[in-house]
Amino acid sequence: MADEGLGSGPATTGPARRALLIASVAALPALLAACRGVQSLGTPPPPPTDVDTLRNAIEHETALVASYAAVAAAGGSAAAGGQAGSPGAASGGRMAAALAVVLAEHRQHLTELRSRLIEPAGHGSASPAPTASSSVTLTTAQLEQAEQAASDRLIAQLAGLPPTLAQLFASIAASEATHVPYLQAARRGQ
Amino acid sequence: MSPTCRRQGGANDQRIRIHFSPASWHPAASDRRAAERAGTRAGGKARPMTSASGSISARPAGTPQPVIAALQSALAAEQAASYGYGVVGALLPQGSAQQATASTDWVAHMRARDKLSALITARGATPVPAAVAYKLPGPVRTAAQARALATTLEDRVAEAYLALVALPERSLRRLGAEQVRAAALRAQAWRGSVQAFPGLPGEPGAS
Repeated sequence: MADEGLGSGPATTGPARRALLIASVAALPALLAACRGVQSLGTPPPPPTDVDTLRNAIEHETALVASYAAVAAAGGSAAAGGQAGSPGAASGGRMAAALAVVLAEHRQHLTELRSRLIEPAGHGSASPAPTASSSVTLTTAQLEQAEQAASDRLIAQLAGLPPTLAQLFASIAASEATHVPYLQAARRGQ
Repeated sequence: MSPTCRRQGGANDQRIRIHFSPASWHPAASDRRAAERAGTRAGGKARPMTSASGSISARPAGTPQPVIAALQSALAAEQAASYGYGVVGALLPQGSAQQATASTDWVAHMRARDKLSALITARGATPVPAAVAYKLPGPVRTAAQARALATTLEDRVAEAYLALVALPERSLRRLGAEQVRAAALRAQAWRGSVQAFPGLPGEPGAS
């Protein structure tokens, strides 16, 4: 009986083991694909709200970059000078420097946001390159309002975003809010 | 194939991962031992809670552990800030505008701390108590060092709240974002300059 038991073991488990091996080999590409990430499986499109929200943020950031570029092109001190009660040339230089700092940060925001959008091959860019030509030159007070609005809009759009994108939105929202007192301080010549 | 948002991979993803460690400074050793006796580690990363700790068993089944961990982490940062602003305020000139600002910020952190404690309690967990004393990140003996400490405190708070933004719960996500913004605004006032990505690890510092 013991011999039968021992003898029958390989006879019964052999095919099962082979089947398992075959199944494992068959599953290998899928497993490898899974390891490489969801993209390699030809993922179904994500919820369109993600993409729309991101595109919307890119468009607004592009517009902000364009606004600052227009102010810079017109001379940052001119924007400062456009404000009622604004100080003179010394603070104009300070304002120009502050505007350059803020513009650089907006460019960083735009680069980071764009890096999160994967466009299929042959698809055009999600947004045009920022140009100053089409923008009306804003005053610094208007830029401050635009910053606050941008910050509020990003925070209002957090729901439903992937976690890391939500964190990026929140961080950019915080950065843009800080531009308001930063520009105000430059305007006051501090 | 339609466009998609990048979720994984890419050079910058390291910079935006969930980051639970808010503080480069930590409670004094005796307080840390007390906190460990209570089942968690204060002032830094919240230790994963198990049923043996007594904390998780009282929690409603619907509250995931990462939510509690992120709230505890934000609480630890707020407790550290509440302590740190006491040091900041003491070193700024008496009656100065900066001391008044420090006082306002201190109150904001204490309120935020209380709110986080209430949120944790409402989810059936126990808020980790604050340490009695904290080891500061460096010497703080002058007004300039006090301002630098305030800036560091705000940066840590922003970082801790950004972990809440990664959570799916809408109200916590919004709270986290609003507090990242509030901390960034306070940091900007102390620093006098701006940052492109407040709260994100790897932020290169003041512009």
